[in-house]
Amino acid sequence: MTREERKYKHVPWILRILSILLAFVLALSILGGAIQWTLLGALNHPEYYVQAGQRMRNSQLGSLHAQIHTLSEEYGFSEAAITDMITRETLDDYSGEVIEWMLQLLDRDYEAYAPLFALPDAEAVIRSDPGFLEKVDVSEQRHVAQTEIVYAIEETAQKELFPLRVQVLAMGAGMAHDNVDVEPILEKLNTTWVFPAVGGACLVLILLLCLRRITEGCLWAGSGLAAGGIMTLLTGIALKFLRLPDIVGEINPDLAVYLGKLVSIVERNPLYLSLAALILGFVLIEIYCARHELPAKEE
Amino acid sequence: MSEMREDVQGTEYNAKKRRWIPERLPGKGWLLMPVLLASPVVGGVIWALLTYGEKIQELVNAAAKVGVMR
Repeated sequence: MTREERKYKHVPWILRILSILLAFVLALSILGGAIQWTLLGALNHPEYYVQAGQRMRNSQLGSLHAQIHTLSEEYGFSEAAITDMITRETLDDYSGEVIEWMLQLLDRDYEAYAPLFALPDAEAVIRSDPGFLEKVDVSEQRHVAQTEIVYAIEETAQKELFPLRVQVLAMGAGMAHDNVDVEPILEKLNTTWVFPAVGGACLVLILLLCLRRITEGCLWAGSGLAAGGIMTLLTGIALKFLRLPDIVGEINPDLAVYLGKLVSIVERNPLYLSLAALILGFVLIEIYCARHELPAKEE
Repeated sequence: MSEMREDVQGTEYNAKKRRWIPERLPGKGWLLMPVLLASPVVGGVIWALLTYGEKIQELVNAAAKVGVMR
């Protein structure tokens, strides 16, 4: 058999149909894998949430410092001593703690009370401030320092850093655990290798089925890969049309900004996966097309 | 191209039967194959979004009502 004859060797119809079906399953496994990866990103990476909050951090710091400024003018304490206690790092740390708390609501033995933002040394600093001692009556100093200043700042920090009501979330988690056993679902989500395994098996099977004409195997494998990339990309774009951050933005603009940024971070890896599948798929199809356009054997 | 294939395979297969085998289609046309494979799922997703899109809006409004958002 000559080289040209081998090149145009026929792959039986049944194997061709099987290859197309396998290519479809391969595409579905890429979409499934991308969805699984997105969910795992959202559930297992608390740092993504803190990262998403960075965009708002300056405005949070700004409003906290503005509140401290107003309180210092009212009660005469030194503003700098308290503002130094609230830095970007302290806000990041607290934000991380609350996010970790929120994610562990998915466990049945969750902690019902969210961590509080605390300024443990602030009260002592204020009560030893000469300006404060001079301006506030001795009988009221403890109450004012504790409630009117420190507690007020802590409460603002909590509200600014976490735009959801934590106790309502905890109640919702309790109700959800009463109705659904979330843990096995999460365990399965965390441990399953179904999508990569099915995808890999389809890829190998397609190439084996088309062993008689491997470039045709490239065509079907490439079609499956590229179709998976297209499905994932278009599903992502379609979800964007839901405009979820805009819907939330009508109720809480801060949460909308946070959500938009979080979605873009969590979606990043699956987006790369879909682009890689798309490019590799089209390269494989192009290999088939290029072979197909080779000049005919000269007699 | 078709002449070439007639040379190579014409004696083995009936040309009429081979009308739709891959090598009879224009080469670059195969780049559309992934779109064909993806279309049922993409269609399904768009259908689901059109059908359940309003439900998501209702869900967010309900969450706002019970006071989940500050």
